[in-house]
Amino acid sequence: MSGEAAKKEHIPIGEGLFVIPPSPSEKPYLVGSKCRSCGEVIFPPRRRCRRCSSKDLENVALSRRAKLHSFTTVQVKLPGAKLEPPYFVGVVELPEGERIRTILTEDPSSLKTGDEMEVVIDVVYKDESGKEVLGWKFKPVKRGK
Amino acid sequence: MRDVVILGVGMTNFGRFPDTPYYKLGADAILEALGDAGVEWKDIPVVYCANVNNGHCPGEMVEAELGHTGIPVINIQNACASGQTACLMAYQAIASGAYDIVLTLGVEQMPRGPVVGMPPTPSMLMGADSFVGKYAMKMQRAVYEGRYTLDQMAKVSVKNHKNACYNPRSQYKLDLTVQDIHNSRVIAYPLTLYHCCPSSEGAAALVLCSEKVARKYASPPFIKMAGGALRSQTFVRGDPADTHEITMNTAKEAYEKTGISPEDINIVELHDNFTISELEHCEELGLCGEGEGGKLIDEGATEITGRIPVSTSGGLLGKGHPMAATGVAQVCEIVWQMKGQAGQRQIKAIPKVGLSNCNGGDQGMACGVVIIKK
Repeated sequence: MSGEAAKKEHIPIGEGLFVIPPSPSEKPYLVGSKCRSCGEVIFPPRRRCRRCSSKDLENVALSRRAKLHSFTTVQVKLPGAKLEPPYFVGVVELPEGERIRTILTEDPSSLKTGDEMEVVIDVVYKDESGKEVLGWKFKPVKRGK
Repeated sequence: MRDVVILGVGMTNFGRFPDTPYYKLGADAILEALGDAGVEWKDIPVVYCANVNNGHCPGEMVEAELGHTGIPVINIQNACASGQTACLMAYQAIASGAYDIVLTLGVEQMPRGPVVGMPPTPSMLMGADSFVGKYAMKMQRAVYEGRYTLDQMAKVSVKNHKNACYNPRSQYKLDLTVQDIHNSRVIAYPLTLYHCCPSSEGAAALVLCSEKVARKYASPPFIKMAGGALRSQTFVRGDPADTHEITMNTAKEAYEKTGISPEDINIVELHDNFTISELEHCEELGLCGEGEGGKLIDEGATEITGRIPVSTSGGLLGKGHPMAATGVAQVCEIVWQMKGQAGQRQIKAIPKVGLSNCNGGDQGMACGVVIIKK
Protein backbone atom coordinates (compact mmCIF):
# COMPACT_ATOMS: atom_id res chain seq x y z
CA MET A 1 0.00 0.00 0.00
CA SER A 2 3.01 2.27 0.41
CA GLY A 3 3.11 3.61 -3.14
CA GLU A 4 -0.63 4.20 -3.24
CA ALA A 5 -0.51 5.90 0.11
CA ALA A 6 1.84 8.56 -1.24
CA LYS A 7 -0.43 9.14 -4.26
CA LYS A 8 -3.50 9.65 -2.09
CA GLU A 9 -1.77 12.52 -0.25
CA HIS A 10 -1.94 10.88 3.11
CA ILE A 11 -0.18 12.84 5.77
CA PRO A 12 2.65 11.39 7.89
CA ILE A 13 2.19 11.38 11.67
CA GLY A 14 5.50 13.23 12.00
CA GLU A 15 8.16 14.72 9.73
CA GLY A 16 11.27 12.69 8.95
CA LEU A 17 10.22 9.57 10.82
CA PHE A 18 9.96 7.23 7.84
CA VAL A 19 10.55 7.06 4.10
CA ILE A 20 8.20 5.58 1.52
CA PRO A 21 10.32 5.07 -1.61
CA PRO A 22 8.59 6.13 -4.86
CA SER A 23 9.17 2.74 -6.44
CA PRO A 24 6.62 0.16 -5.25
CA SER A 25 9.34 -2.49 -5.44
CA GLU A 26 11.23 -0.82 -2.62
CA LYS A 27 9.90 -1.17 0.91
CA PRO A 28 9.38 1.69 3.37
CA TYR A 29 11.64 2.09 6.36
CA LEU A 30 11.94 4.08 9.58
CA VAL A 31 14.60 6.77 9.93
CA GLY A 32 16.81 7.05 12.99
CA SER A 33 19.89 8.97 14.07
CA LYS A 34 23.24 7.23 14.33
CA CYS A 35 25.83 8.86 16.54
CA ARG A 36 29.24 9.05 14.87
CA SER A 37 30.79 9.50 18.29
CA CYS A 38 29.46 6.57 20.33
CA GLY A 39 27.68 4.54 17.65
CA GLU A 40 24.27 4.57 19.34
CA VAL A 41 21.26 4.42 17.03
CA ILE A 42 18.13 6.21 18.26
CA PHE A 43 14.55 6.60 17.11
CA PRO A 44 13.03 9.09 16.49
CA PRO A 45 15.90 11.18 15.07
CA ARG A 46 17.25 13.94 17.30
CA ARG A 47 19.75 16.78 17.04
CA ARG A 48 21.94 15.43 19.82
CA CYS A 49 22.78 11.90 20.82
CA ARG A 50 20.58 10.72 23.69
CA ARG A 51 23.47 8.69 25.04
CA CYS A 52 26.56 10.95 24.76
CA SER A 53 25.15 14.37 23.75
CA SER A 54 27.31 14.49 20.62
CA LYS A 55 25.94 16.62 17.81
CA ASP A 56 27.77 14.48 15.24
CA LEU A 57 24.74 12.49 14.08
CA GLU A 58 23.66 11.14 10.73
CA ASN A 59 20.24 10.02 9.59
CA VAL A 60 20.17 6.32 8.83
CA ALA A 61 17.64 3.87 7.50
CA LEU A 62 16.70 1.58 10.38
CA SER A 63 16.52 -2.18 9.99
CA ARG A 64 13.13 -3.18 8.72
CA ARG A 65 13.14 -6.29 10.87
CA ALA A 66 12.98 -6.38 14.64
CA LYS A 67 12.21 -8.85 17.42
CA LEU A 68 9.03 -8.62 19.48
CA HIS A 69 10.08 -7.56 22.99
CA SER A 70 6.67 -7.25 24.65
CA PHE A 71 3.03 -6.76 23.67
CA THR A 72 -0.52 -6.22 24.87
CA THR A 73 -4.03 -5.40 23.70
CA VAL A 74 -5.31 -2.05 24.96
CA GLN A 75 -8.97 -2.41 25.94
CA VAL A 76 -9.70 1.13 27.13
CA LYS A 77 -10.16 4.43 25.35
CA LEU A 78 -7.26 6.68 26.27
CA PRO A 79 -7.66 10.46 26.46
CA GLY A 80 -5.97 12.01 23.42
CA ALA A 81 -5.28 8.72 21.64
CA LYS A 82 -6.88 8.47 18.22
CA LEU A 83 -7.31 4.71 18.11
CA GLU A 84 -10.50 3.09 19.33
CA PRO A 85 -10.01 0.07 21.55
CA PRO A 86 -9.29 -2.73 21.38
CA TYR A 87 -5.99 -2.33 19.56
CA PHE A 88 -2.68 -4.11 19.62
CA VAL A 89 0.58 -2.54 20.78
CA GLY A 90 4.09 -3.79 21.27
CA VAL A 91 7.72 -2.95 21.82
CA VAL A 92 10.15 -4.26 19.20
CA GLU A 93 13.91 -4.44 19.51
CA LEU A 94 15.96 -3.56 16.46
CA PRO A 95 19.27 -5.29 15.67
CA GLU A 96 20.79 -1.83 16.28
CA GLY A 97 19.67 -2.09 19.91
CA GLU A 98 16.99 0.60 19.97
CA ARG A 99 13.51 -0.38 21.13
CA ILE A 100 10.45 1.11 19.45
CA ARG A 101 6.88 1.40 20.70
CA THR A 102 4.53 0.41 17.95
CA ILE A 103 1.09 -0.60 16.85
CA LEU A 104 0.94 -4.30 15.93
CA THR A 105 -1.04 -5.40 12.90
CA GLU A 106 -2.17 -8.62 14.54
CA ASP A 107 -3.67 -9.80 17.79
CA PRO A 108 -0.61 -10.59 19.92
CA SER A 109 -2.33 -13.58 21.51
CA SER A 110 -1.13 -15.43 18.39
CA LEU A 111 2.42 -14.06 18.86
CA LYS A 112 5.21 -14.71 21.30
CA THR A 113 8.15 -12.80 22.72
CA GLY A 114 11.09 -12.93 20.33
CA ASP A 115 9.00 -13.33 17.17
CA GLU A 116 10.47 -11.75 14.03
CA MET A 117 8.55 -8.63 13.01
CA GLU A 118 8.68 -6.31 10.03
CA VAL A 119 7.87 -2.60 9.75
CA VAL A 120 4.98 -1.41 7.62
CA ILE A 121 3.77 2.14 7.02
CA ASP A 122 0.01 2.25 7.20
CA VAL A 123 -2.96 4.42 8.05
CA VAL A 124 -3.20 4.75 11.83
CA TYR A 125 -6.17 7.13 12.10
CA LYS A 126 -8.07 9.91 10.36
CA ASP A 127 -7.48 13.48 11.49
CA GLU A 128 -10.21 16.09 12.12
CA SER A 129 -10.47 16.98 8.41
CA GLY A 130 -10.86 13.32 7.49
CA LYS A 131 -7.34 12.95 6.09
CA GLU A 132 -5.71 9.60 6.66
CA VAL A 133 -2.63 9.80 8.86
CA LEU A 134 0.25 7.41 8.23
CA GLY A 135 2.30 5.88 11.01
CA TRP A 136 4.43 2.84 11.60
CA LYS A 137 3.21 -0.60 12.55
CA PHE A 138 4.98 -3.92 12.90
CA LYS A 139 3.63 -7.16 11.48
CA PRO A 140 4.84 -10.68 12.10
CA VAL A 141 7.15 -12.16 9.46
CA LYS A 142 5.44 -15.34 8.37
CA ARG A 143 7.78 -18.28 8.07
CA GLY A 144 8.25 -19.67 4.57
CA LYS A 145 7.73 -16.31 2.90
CA MET B 1 24.10 22.59 56.47
CA ARG B 2 21.46 22.90 59.20
CA ASP B 3 19.14 20.16 60.42
CA VAL B 4 15.58 20.36 59.06
CA VAL B 5 12.74 19.63 61.49
CA ILE B 6 9.30 18.46 60.34
CA LEU B 7 7.29 20.55 62.79
CA GLY B 8 3.79 19.81 61.55
CA VAL B 9 1.93 17.72 58.98
CA GLY B 10 -1.57 17.82 57.52
CA MET B 11 -3.51 15.97 54.88
CA THR B 12 -7.05 15.91 53.49
CA ASN B 13 -8.84 12.68 52.79
CA PHE B 14 -7.94 11.35 49.35
CA GLY B 15 -10.78 10.57 46.96
CA ARG B 16 -13.19 12.39 44.69
CA PHE B 17 -14.48 15.79 45.75
CA PRO B 18 -16.37 17.23 42.77
CA ASP B 19 -17.87 20.03 44.88
CA THR B 20 -14.61 21.17 46.48
CA PRO B 21 -12.13 23.09 44.32
CA TYR B 22 -8.46 22.15 44.69
CA TYR B 23 -7.53 25.40 46.38
CA LYS B 24 -9.93 24.65 49.24
CA LEU B 25 -8.39 21.17 49.58
CA GLY B 26 -4.96 22.81 49.67
CA ALA B 27 -6.07 25.26 52.35
CA ASP B 28 -7.53 22.40 54.44
CA ALA B 29 -4.19 20.56 54.39
CA ILE B 30 -2.24 23.72 55.24
CA LEU B 31 -4.52 24.59 58.16
CA GLU B 32 -4.10 21.10 59.61
CA ALA B 33 -0.30 21.29 59.23
CA LEU B 34 -0.19 24.75 60.81
CA GLY B 35 -2.37 23.54 63.69
CA ASP B 36 -0.16 20.48 64.16
CA ALA B 37 2.94 22.71 64.23
CA GLY B 38 1.34 25.43 66.36
CA VAL B 39 2.39 27.98 63.75
CA GLU B 40 0.26 30.85 62.41
CA TRP B 41 -0.22 31.40 58.66
CA LYS B 42 1.21 34.93 59.03
CA ASP B 43 4.47 33.38 60.29
CA ILE B 44 5.02 31.44 57.03
CA PRO B 45 7.55 33.30 54.84
CA VAL B 46 7.47 31.06 51.74
CA VAL B 47 5.41 28.26 50.17
CA TYR B 48 6.68 25.50 47.89
CA CYS B 49 3.59 24.18 46.11
CA ALA B 50 3.57 20.97 44.08
CA ASN B 51 0.75 20.60 41.55
CA VAL B 52 0.41 19.02 38.11
CA ASN B 53 -3.11 19.40 36.76
CA ASN B 54 -4.57 22.70 37.93
CA GLY B 55 -3.21 25.43 35.68
CA HIS B 56 -1.47 28.67 36.46
CA CYS B 57 -0.39 29.74 39.96
CA PRO B 58 -2.06 26.94 41.95
CA GLY B 59 -0.09 27.83 45.10
CA GLU B 60 -1.27 31.44 44.92
CA MET B 61 -4.85 30.23 44.50
CA VAL B 62 -4.48 28.29 47.77
CA GLU B 63 -2.74 31.23 49.44
CA ALA B 64 -5.75 33.45 48.60
CA GLU B 65 -7.91 31.13 50.75
CA LEU B 66 -5.73 31.84 53.77
CA GLY B 67 -5.14 35.57 53.47
CA HIS B 68 -2.71 37.51 51.31
CA THR B 69 0.59 38.03 53.06
CA GLY B 70 2.62 38.79 49.95
CA ILE B 71 5.05 35.91 50.48
CA PRO B 72 6.79 34.18 47.56
CA VAL B 73 4.98 31.09 46.31
CA ILE B 74 7.04 28.68 44.24
CA ASN B 75 5.02 26.30 42.06
CA ILE B 76 6.61 22.97 41.20
CA GLN B 77 5.66 20.40 38.58
CA ASN B 78 7.53 17.12 38.16
CA ALA B 79 4.63 14.75 37.43
CA CYS B 80 4.27 12.09 40.14
CA ALA B 81 7.60 13.17 41.67
CA SER B 82 6.31 16.72 42.24
CA GLY B 83 5.72 16.14 45.95
CA GLN B 84 9.26 14.91 46.61
CA THR B 85 10.62 17.74 44.47
CA ALA B 86 8.80 20.32 46.61
CA CYS B 87 9.99 18.59 49.80
CA LEU B 88 13.59 18.65 48.63
CA MET B 89 13.41 22.30 47.54
CA ALA B 90 11.99 23.17 50.95
CA TYR B 91 14.65 21.04 52.64
CA GLN B 92 17.39 22.96 50.82
CA ALA B 93 15.81 26.29 51.77
CA ILE B 94 16.05 25.45 55.49
CA ALA B 95 19.31 23.50 55.39
CA SER B 96 21.11 26.27 53.51
CA GLY B 97 19.85 28.96 55.87
CA ALA B 98 17.85 30.77 53.17
CA TYR B 99 14.70 30.42 55.31
CA ASP B 100 14.06 29.41 58.94
CA ILE B 101 10.56 28.12 58.26
CA VAL B 102 8.92 26.84 55.08
CA LEU B 103 5.53 25.47 54.10
CA THR B 104 5.44 22.59 51.59
CA LEU B 105 2.16 21.78 49.90
CA GLY B 106 1.11 19.11 47.44
CA VAL B 107 -2.36 19.59 45.98
CA GLU B 108 -4.21 18.00 43.11
CA GLN B 109 -7.53 17.78 41.37
CA MET B 110 -7.49 15.35 38.44
CA PRO B 111 -9.73 14.34 35.56
CA ARG B 112 -11.22 10.86 35.74
CA GLY B 113 -9.85 8.00 33.72
CA PRO B 114 -6.37 6.93 32.62
CA VAL B 115 -3.63 9.53 32.96
CA VAL B 116 -2.05 10.83 29.76
CA GLY B 117 0.43 13.39 30.94
CA MET B 118 3.01 13.69 28.22
CA PRO B 119 2.89 15.86 25.11
CA PRO B 120 1.35 14.14 22.10
CA THR B 121 4.31 12.48 20.42
CA PRO B 122 3.59 10.44 17.28
CA SER B 123 3.66 7.23 19.36
CA MET B 124 1.14 8.65 21.79
CA LEU B 125 -1.17 9.94 19.07
CA MET B 126 -1.24 6.46 17.58
CA GLY B 127 -1.87 4.90 20.98
CA ALA B 128 1.38 2.91 20.82
CA ASP B 129 2.61 4.80 23.86
CA SER B 130 0.42 5.01 26.97
CA PHE B 131 0.82 4.36 30.68
CA VAL B 132 -1.53 1.41 30.71
CA GLY B 133 0.06 -0.10 27.60
CA LYS B 134 3.54 0.36 29.01
CA TYR B 135 2.75 -1.22 32.36
CA ALA B 136 0.88 -4.09 30.75
CA MET B 137 3.98 -4.75 28.66
CA LYS B 138 6.28 -4.38 31.66
CA MET B 139 4.19 -7.07 33.37
CA GLN B 140 4.18 -9.29 30.29
CA ARG B 141 7.95 -8.96 29.97
CA ALA B 142 8.57 -9.57 33.69
CA VAL B 143 6.56 -12.80 33.54
CA TYR B 144 8.39 -13.83 30.34
CA GLU B 145 11.75 -13.20 32.01
CA GLY B 146 10.63 -15.06 35.13
CA ARG B 147 11.20 -12.06 37.38
CA TYR B 148 7.73 -11.96 38.95
CA THR B 149 4.50 -13.93 38.72
CA LEU B 150 1.14 -12.25 38.21
CA ASP B 151 0.17 -13.58 41.65
CA GLN B 152 3.09 -11.75 43.25
CA MET B 153 2.04 -8.52 41.55
CA ALA B 154 -1.57 -9.06 42.65
CA LYS B 155 -0.42 -9.57 46.24
CA VAL B 156 0.87 -5.98 46.26
CA SER B 157 -2.63 -4.75 45.45
CA VAL B 158 -4.18 -7.01 48.11
CA LYS B 159 -1.71 -5.76 50.74
CA ASN B 160 -2.02 -2.06 49.94
CA HIS B 161 -5.81 -2.16 49.69
CA LYS B 162 -5.87 -3.96 53.05
CA ASN B 163 -3.66 -1.27 54.62
CA ALA B 164 -5.95 1.40 53.16
CA CYS B 165 -8.86 -0.15 55.07
CA TYR B 166 -7.07 0.92 58.25
CA ASN B 167 -6.49 4.47 57.00
CA PRO B 168 -9.50 6.75 57.51
CA ARG B 169 -8.09 9.16 54.90
CA SER B 170 -7.82 6.63 52.06
CA GLN B 171 -9.87 6.66 48.86
CA TYR B 172 -10.69 2.94 48.93
CA LYS B 173 -11.54 0.49 51.67
CA LEU B 174 -11.53 -2.80 49.78
CA ASP B 175 -10.91 -6.25 51.15
CA LEU B 176 -9.61 -8.04 48.05
CA THR B 177 -8.11 -11.42 47.21
CA VAL B 178 -5.49 -12.29 44.60
CA GLN B 179 -8.31 -13.75 42.51
CA ASP B 180 -10.27 -10.49 42.78
CA ILE B 181 -7.28 -8.65 41.28
CA HIS B 182 -7.00 -11.11 38.38
CA ASN B 183 -10.76 -11.07 37.77
CA SER B 184 -11.17 -7.30 37.74
CA ARG B 185 -11.77 -5.51 34.43
CA VAL B 186 -9.05 -6.08 31.83
CA ILE B 187 -7.39 -2.79 30.90
CA ALA B 188 -4.60 -4.25 28.74
CA TYR B 189 -3.83 -7.89 29.50
CA PRO B 190 -2.26 -8.85 31.89
CA LEU B 191 -3.01 -5.47 33.44
CA THR B 192 -6.38 -5.49 35.18
CA LEU B 193 -8.08 -2.62 37.00
CA TYR B 194 -6.84 -3.47 40.50
CA HIS B 195 -3.23 -3.52 39.32
CA CYS B 196 -3.64 0.25 38.69
CA CYS B 197 -3.80 3.07 41.20
CA PRO B 198 -6.78 5.40 40.83
CA SER B 199 -6.61 9.04 39.83
CA SER B 200 -7.60 11.07 42.85
CA GLU B 201 -7.98 14.41 44.52
CA GLY B 202 -6.53 15.68 47.76
CA ALA B 203 -3.78 17.67 49.40
CA ALA B 204 -1.03 17.32 51.98
CA ALA B 205 1.19 19.89 53.69
CA LEU B 206 4.28 20.08 55.90
CA VAL B 207 5.73 22.82 58.08
CA LEU B 208 9.51 22.53 57.99
CA CYS B 209 11.87 24.64 60.06
CA SER B 210 15.32 24.93 61.57
CA GLU B 211 15.97 23.28 64.92
CA LYS B 212 16.27 26.69 66.57
CA VAL B 213 12.80 27.70 65.41
CA ALA B 214 11.40 24.27 66.30
CA ARG B 215 12.44 24.78 69.95
CA LYS B 216 10.15 27.82 70.14
CA TYR B 217 7.14 25.65 69.35
CA ALA B 218 7.98 22.21 70.74
CA SER B 219 10.49 20.17 72.68
CA PRO B 220 12.95 17.68 71.23
CA PRO B 221 13.38 14.97 70.12
CA PHE B 222 12.24 16.17 66.70
CA ILE B 223 11.41 14.24 63.57
CA LYS B 224 13.74 15.47 60.86
CA MET B 225 13.96 15.45 57.13
CA ALA B 226 17.46 14.05 56.77
CA GLY B 227 17.72 14.93 53.08
CA GLY B 228 17.36 13.04 49.86
CA ALA B 229 17.95 13.25 46.15
CA LEU B 230 16.21 14.17 42.94
CA ARG B 231 17.37 12.89 39.57
CA SER B 232 16.31 12.66 35.95
CA GLN B 233 17.15 9.72 33.73
CA THR B 234 20.49 8.59 32.46
CA PHE B 235 20.61 6.93 29.05
CA VAL B 236 18.73 3.69 28.65
CA ARG B 237 17.74 2.15 25.37
CA GLY B 238 14.09 2.28 24.52
CA ASP B 239 11.65 3.77 26.93
CA PRO B 240 12.16 5.44 30.31
CA ALA B 241 9.40 3.21 31.69
CA ASP B 242 11.76 0.24 31.42
CA THR B 243 14.62 1.75 33.39
CA HIS B 244 15.71 0.66 36.85
CA GLU B 245 18.79 2.89 36.95
CA ILE B 246 17.05 6.14 37.82
CA THR B 247 15.63 4.84 41.11
CA MET B 248 18.85 2.98 41.95
CA ASN B 249 20.92 6.11 41.29
CA THR B 250 18.58 8.40 43.22
CA ALA B 251 18.46 6.06 46.21
CA LYS B 252 22.24 5.68 46.18
CA GLU B 253 22.69 9.45 46.18
CA ALA B 254 20.12 9.87 48.97
CA TYR B 255 21.83 7.19 51.08
CA GLU B 256 25.25 8.76 50.56
CA LYS B 257 24.04 12.26 51.43
CA THR B 258 22.20 11.19 54.58
CA GLY B 259 24.52 8.45 55.80
CA ILE B 260 21.54 6.10 55.93
CA SER B 261 21.73 2.60 54.47
CA PRO B 262 18.77 0.48 53.36
CA GLU B 263 19.20 -1.79 56.43
CA ASP B 264 18.45 1.20 58.70
CA ILE B 265 15.02 1.82 57.19
CA ASN B 266 11.88 0.75 59.10
CA ILE B 267 9.13 2.18 56.89
CA VAL B 268 8.83 2.90 53.17
CA GLU B 269 6.18 4.74 51.18
CA LEU B 270 6.97 4.26 47.50
CA HIS B 271 5.55 4.66 44.02
CA ASP B 272 3.08 1.79 43.68
CA ASN B 273 1.31 3.42 40.72
CA PHE B 274 0.97 -0.10 39.31
CA THR B 275 1.58 -3.27 41.30
CA ILE B 276 4.77 -4.23 39.45
CA SER B 277 6.32 -0.88 40.42
CA GLU B 278 6.33 -1.76 44.12
CA LEU B 279 8.21 -5.00 43.48
CA GLU B 280 10.73 -3.25 41.25
CA HIS B 281 11.21 -0.27 43.56
CA CYS B 282 11.79 -2.52 46.58
CA GLU B 283 14.75 -3.96 44.67
CA GLU B 284 15.96 -0.63 43.29
CA LEU B 285 15.84 1.03 46.72
CA GLY B 286 17.89 -1.86 48.12
CA LEU B 287 15.19 -3.14 50.51
CA CYS B 288 16.02 -6.61 49.21
CA GLY B 289 18.55 -8.09 46.83
CA GLU B 290 18.26 -7.83 43.06
CA GLY B 291 15.60 -10.23 41.81
CA GLU B 292 14.13 -10.73 45.30
CA GLY B 293 11.13 -8.39 45.02
CA GLY B 294 8.74 -11.27 44.43
CA LYS B 295 10.12 -13.23 47.36
CA LEU B 296 9.75 -10.15 49.58
CA ILE B 297 5.98 -9.94 48.97
CA ASP B 298 5.56 -13.74 49.19
CA GLU B 299 7.22 -13.78 52.60
CA GLY B 300 5.08 -10.94 53.92
CA ALA B 301 8.17 -8.85 54.65
CA THR B 302 6.47 -5.67 53.40
CA GLU B 303 3.29 -6.13 55.47
CA ILE B 304 2.70 -3.78 58.42
CA THR B 305 3.83 -6.67 60.60
CA GLY B 306 6.79 -7.53 58.37
CA ARG B 307 10.53 -6.85 58.43
CA ILE B 308 10.26 -3.73 56.24
CA PRO B 309 6.68 -2.38 56.00
CA VAL B 310 5.94 -0.80 52.61
CA SER B 311 2.91 1.40 51.80
CA THR B 312 1.37 1.20 55.28
CA SER B 313 -0.88 4.13 54.32
CA GLY B 314 -2.46 2.04 51.59
CA GLY B 315 -0.07 3.40 49.00
CA LEU B 316 -1.10 4.88 45.70
CA LEU B 317 -3.16 1.76 45.01
CA GLY B 318 -5.38 1.99 48.08
CA LYS B 319 -5.00 5.45 49.58
CA GLY B 320 -5.24 7.08 46.15
CA HIS B 321 -2.92 9.11 43.97
CA PRO B 322 -3.59 12.84 43.63
CA MET B 323 -0.34 13.22 41.71
CA ALA B 324 1.53 16.09 43.37
CA ALA B 325 -0.05 15.49 46.79
CA THR B 326 1.21 11.92 46.98
CA GLY B 327 4.88 12.62 47.80
CA VAL B 328 3.97 15.07 50.56
CA ALA B 329 1.32 12.69 51.96
CA GLN B 330 3.95 9.93 52.09
CA VAL B 331 5.98 12.11 54.44
CA CYS B 332 2.83 12.67 56.57
CA GLU B 333 2.35 8.90 56.86
CA ILE B 334 5.96 8.34 57.92
CA VAL B 335 5.70 11.12 60.54
CA TRP B 336 2.44 9.68 61.95
CA GLN B 337 4.04 6.23 62.14
CA MET B 338 7.07 7.72 63.93
CA LYS B 339 4.78 9.50 66.41
CA GLY B 340 2.74 6.35 67.05
CA GLN B 341 -0.34 8.07 65.62
CA ALA B 342 -1.16 5.67 62.79
CA GLY B 343 -4.09 4.01 64.55
CA GLN B 344 -5.00 0.53 63.34
CA ARG B 345 -2.16 0.50 60.82
CA GLN B 346 0.51 1.46 63.37
CA ILE B 347 3.78 -0.46 63.03
CA LYS B 348 4.39 -2.07 66.46
CA ALA B 349 8.08 -1.27 66.70
CA ILE B 350 7.87 2.51 66.22
CA PRO B 351 9.94 3.27 63.10
CA LYS B 352 12.98 5.51 63.42
CA VAL B 353 14.05 5.86 59.79
CA GLY B 354 11.68 6.20 56.83
CA LEU B 355 11.96 6.60 53.08
CA SER B 356 9.54 8.26 50.68
CA ASN B 357 9.93 7.72 46.92
CA CYS B 358 7.99 8.73 43.84
CA ASN B 359 8.86 8.52 40.17
CA GLY B 360 7.45 10.97 37.68
CA GLY B 361 6.64 10.71 34.00
CA ASP B 362 6.91 7.06 32.98
CA GLN B 363 8.78 5.91 36.10
CA GLY B 364 11.99 6.93 34.41
CA MET B 365 11.92 10.68 33.85
CA ALA B 366 12.03 12.08 37.38
CA CYS B 367 12.78 10.32 40.64
CA GLY B 368 12.70 11.75 44.15
CA VAL B 369 13.78 10.06 47.38
CA VAL B 370 13.30 11.73 50.76
CA ILE B 371 14.72 10.27 54.00
CA ILE B 372 13.06 10.96 57.33
CA LYS B 373 14.70 10.30 60.66
CA LYS B 374 13.53 10.35 64.25
